[in-house]
Amino acid sequence: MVGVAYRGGIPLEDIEVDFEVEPVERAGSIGFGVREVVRLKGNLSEMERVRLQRAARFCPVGQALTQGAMVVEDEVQWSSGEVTAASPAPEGLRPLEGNLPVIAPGSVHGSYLLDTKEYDENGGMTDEGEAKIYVTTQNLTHTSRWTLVAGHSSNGWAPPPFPTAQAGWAASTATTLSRLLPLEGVGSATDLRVEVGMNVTGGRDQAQGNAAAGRVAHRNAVRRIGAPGTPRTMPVEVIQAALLRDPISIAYREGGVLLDEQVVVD
Amino acid sequence: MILDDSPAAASQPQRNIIARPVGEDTVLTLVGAGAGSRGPWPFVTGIPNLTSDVGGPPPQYLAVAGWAA
Repeated sequence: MVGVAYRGGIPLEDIEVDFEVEPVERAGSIGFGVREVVRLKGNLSEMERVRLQRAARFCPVGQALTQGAMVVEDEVQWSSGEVTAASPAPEGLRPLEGNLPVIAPGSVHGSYLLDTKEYDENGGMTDEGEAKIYVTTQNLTHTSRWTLVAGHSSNGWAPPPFPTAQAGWAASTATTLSRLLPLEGVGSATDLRVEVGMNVTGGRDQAQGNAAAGRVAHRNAVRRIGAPGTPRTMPVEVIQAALLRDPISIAYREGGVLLDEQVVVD
Repeated sequence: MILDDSPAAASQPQRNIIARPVGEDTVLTLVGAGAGSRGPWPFVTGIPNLTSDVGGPPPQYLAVAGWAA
């Protein structure tokens, strides 16, 4: 949003965002939903507020989770060495049964770090800067909290937003497979490996242009599942059936994570 | 390849984010794992359980954290 505001000459002075995260039932699996409140500071017109609200929903990560804008190409590599394409999943494949962890309710709070914005010698903004993010979730017995930093910086001090979200997808995939795959006699969960990558075109300018205009831009991602065993002991269809239940993969496929959104101007 | 969400041109995607379970309830993920990638940035994610503290936020929260950023 900072980039969209800068490109559009919108006098955005500061920004904070709060997400309330909650479990949501999805067909055959456990999904999650978010309720978003964005707080903008600045002397903004109604048109500028609407433009920034659209940018929040159509930023690359927001699109991936709310619009089903990710196109995922899967492959499986077994520890025996064989590799095979694993997408699309066969039509009519039933999701693998088994228990997945409950998605605990919690919150994600992001505060923009104003002084991390970077400029070139002509005063043009080169990097939008970073955000401090507080994550709070309920463990089974008490509340747990973490602090993260992510954003855009020239020296790469913090991971950019989309790779941070992709790390969540990779971890979600690993968690789902470790819980669902019949590993007994084949290997253990620690034998699993999930590798993901992404291919996009147009760069940050285009991403911010899409966000400002409310355009959905499909992004291609590749995901390789490193699985123990062989194609005979751990059939690709079983892995595909497990992937059908992964919560973030479902969001990437179907969107719909955003349950409610508000934009408040202070 | 510079790891960013704004590569300048289309190219064959490089799988430079790697996740591995390190226990029953914890996954370690490395962002920028490939040669030439920017990073690396490690993330620990965990899931609520009865036997231990959660080592990091659940994966869904990490994805939402990327959205917040």
